Amino acid sequence: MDTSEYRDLFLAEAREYLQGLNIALLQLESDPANREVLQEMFRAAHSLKGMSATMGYQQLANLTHQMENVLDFLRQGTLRANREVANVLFESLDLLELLLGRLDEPAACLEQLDRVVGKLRAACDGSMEEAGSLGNAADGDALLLDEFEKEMLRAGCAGGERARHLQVILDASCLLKSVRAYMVFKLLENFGHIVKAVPGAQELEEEQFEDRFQLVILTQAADETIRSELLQIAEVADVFVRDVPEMGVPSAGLEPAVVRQVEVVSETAVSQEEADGERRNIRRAAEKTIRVETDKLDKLINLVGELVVNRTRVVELGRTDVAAELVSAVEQLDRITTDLQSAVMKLRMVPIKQVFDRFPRMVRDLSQEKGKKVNLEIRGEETELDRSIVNQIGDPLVHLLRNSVDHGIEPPGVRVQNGKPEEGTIILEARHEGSYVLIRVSDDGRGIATEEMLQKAVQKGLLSSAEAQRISDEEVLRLIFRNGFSTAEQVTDISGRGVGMDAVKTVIESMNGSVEIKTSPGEGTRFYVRLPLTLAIIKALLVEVAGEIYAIPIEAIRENLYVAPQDIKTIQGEKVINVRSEVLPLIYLGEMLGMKSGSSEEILSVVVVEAAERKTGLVVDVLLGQQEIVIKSLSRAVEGIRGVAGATVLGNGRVALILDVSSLI
Amino acid sequence: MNNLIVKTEEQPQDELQLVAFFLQGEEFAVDIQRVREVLKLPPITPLPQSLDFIEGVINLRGEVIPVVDLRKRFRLADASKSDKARIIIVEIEEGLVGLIVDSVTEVLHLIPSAIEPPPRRLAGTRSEFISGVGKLGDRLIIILHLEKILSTEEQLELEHLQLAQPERMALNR
Repeated sequence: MDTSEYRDLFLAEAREYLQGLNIALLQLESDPANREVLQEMFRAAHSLKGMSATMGYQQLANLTHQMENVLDFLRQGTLRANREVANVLFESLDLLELLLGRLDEPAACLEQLDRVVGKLRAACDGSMEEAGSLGNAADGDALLLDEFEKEMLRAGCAGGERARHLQVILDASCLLKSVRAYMVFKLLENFGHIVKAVPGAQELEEEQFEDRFQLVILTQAADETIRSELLQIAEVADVFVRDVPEMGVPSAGLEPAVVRQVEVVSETAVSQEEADGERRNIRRAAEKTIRVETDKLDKLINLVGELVVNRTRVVELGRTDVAAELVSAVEQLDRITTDLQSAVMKLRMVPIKQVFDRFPRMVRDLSQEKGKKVNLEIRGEETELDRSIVNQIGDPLVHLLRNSVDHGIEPPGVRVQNGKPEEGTIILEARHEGSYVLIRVSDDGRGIATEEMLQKAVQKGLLSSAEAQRISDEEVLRLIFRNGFSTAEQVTDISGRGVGMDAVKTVIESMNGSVEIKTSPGEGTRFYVRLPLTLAIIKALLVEVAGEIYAIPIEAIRENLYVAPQDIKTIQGEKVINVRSEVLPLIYLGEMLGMKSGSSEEILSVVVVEAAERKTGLVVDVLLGQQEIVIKSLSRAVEGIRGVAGATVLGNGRVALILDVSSLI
Repeated sequence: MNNLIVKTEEQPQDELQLVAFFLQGEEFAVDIQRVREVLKLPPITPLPQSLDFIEGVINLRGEVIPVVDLRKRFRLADASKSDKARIIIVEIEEGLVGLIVDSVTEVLHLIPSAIEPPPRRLAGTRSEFISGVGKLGDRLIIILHLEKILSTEEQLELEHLQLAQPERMALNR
């Protein structure tokens, strides 16, 4: 079967399962007894196995098969979710991700695969030992024996037979599962007799089971004999034989078996309801959405944009006509188009959860590595943002979080000394704020010492000592975003190389967003990232220059001024104005754009814009007002014009250019 | 309707259909396969600091499309645009581009044998822009080579040196 056309679909779905597994595993670490999570993880691993086998990805199928086994033992309670098991599972997930990225190289990562599969198998074996040594401690409630069955087992044991619990796993590709089950039953009759089957014989016959079933038998044969005989049957993938939990002889006189405890940095205590919600999410994402090519969406959005423009025209016409019928029809059209536009724009919106979901795992690994205790709290992950922004915001946030773990949160010992809880808290929060989304990354760590930063800045020559005298605390903090600045004493592989924070700022500003930093020494640091809801629509100030209309993104604008000619000064031939003791260079937009300067007004209209920390006054002819505009890219044939970021279509159908402030000044 | 279809089938397979237009009295044409539509002149927004023959950009149902003034491109005398002036929207490698012409006349049918390679200079137009000259009765029709329409002068000079003789026998499709 040619499966290549399903490859992308497979990848997307597999990644969703993988993400779900990662989240669930983190949850499991903090709440090892949560069966619901285990059940969900097991199903996810099982689906992955099935998908991979169907697509012919043997390595993936093999790996997920072993994961499934471990999860199955966990789910049955014969294996405890201790830290080692969790780490092996995390390792498997990492490998899974690696393999997904290299689907086309079947020979890749074979060594790693062997190692991880080995570890997973070892974990299963551990389960056997544990089951043996712990006896009753392993509460196999998946296998509830009624009184009659227990009586049978007791009678059998008294008669010299042993009660054994068998788990039979069939090949994922097995077609006639009921036949195989029947063959297993048949064979076992040679060794002893079957007391109970889970699922029951009826369900087994009707194939109402996934790929495994459990049996309780009374036999005299050795475990190994039973296992090897059963493995002779075609399509029986694996057989595990162990004690029947309820028949295990409690070792009287011994201390109750000590179960190895989970001792990992726990996530926020998740309440039961939340946990229930979470576990469903593993599958939910796939069921609630359909995949649509982004090109099709963009086309639709474009058409709706055009509809909106035409609506404006009709509305204008409607105002000039007195016919009341027409006016009301036009108003109706106006409402419908507005709703349609917002509905269509929402198609591009995706919850920021997609990005946030990566972080618990990252923070966990990072804090373990750094020997710190960190609790990451995530809030507002349902907040929606434009798809393209969500795609780009991941890296900057990774950097901010790493920064918090590495520089912000102190080592546990230091925290205790300072009278703080041993475990540090990082809060990652997203919420709507007007037409923007605010993302806050805050930690309760040591904060930033502005004095030290100032010294560093002077040392590195970023500031003169004279400048250092005048600079305000806020400005000092902003130095963090300057290229070549790092306060970390030790350069680590995580952060502190002086690159990154400036990249963070660049990426965020390229999306018309902004980033701010606030700190209180000893109490923590907060980063505020403000992003537009969508890249496709921005707020802009419309201005007229030489008879043409231009749009200036509001984000870049600080204020608008009217300046009298006598207030314009000249410094070294450059015209400047003085705004509240700040000297700003003036740029005549008309001249800058090579257009004939139009206005002969006495009083100049000046738009003060800021980009890359530099403020400039742009002289325009007329300030027309603020408006939401839909950004259109310029054709490839004419792109790259200095000072022009794109174009938009105005209400009258004409094209207006959007100015790129950073390349203008 | 049926008649029309039959007629089309009777036509030779390799016959070319061209959209013909006038530019300063000369007759030009572009391959109809490249033509998306023909418009009356909409308001044009000038594009500062772009190549001089780029007249600006227009809004074509929500898409922003650059417009080339062919008179400026071919260094013909600038004339005020009459009511007959049209924009032919064509598809080139860079995307859609509008070409301002004096007027659009008709759709022509030409057989390949009626098309001759371009002479070195014709009607003041550089041969780079011409893929051939079509003969229809006693009419001479200059067929445009669209790919070079947006190239800068420097790019053209460079190619001119590399390609000693222009060999553009075949119509570009």
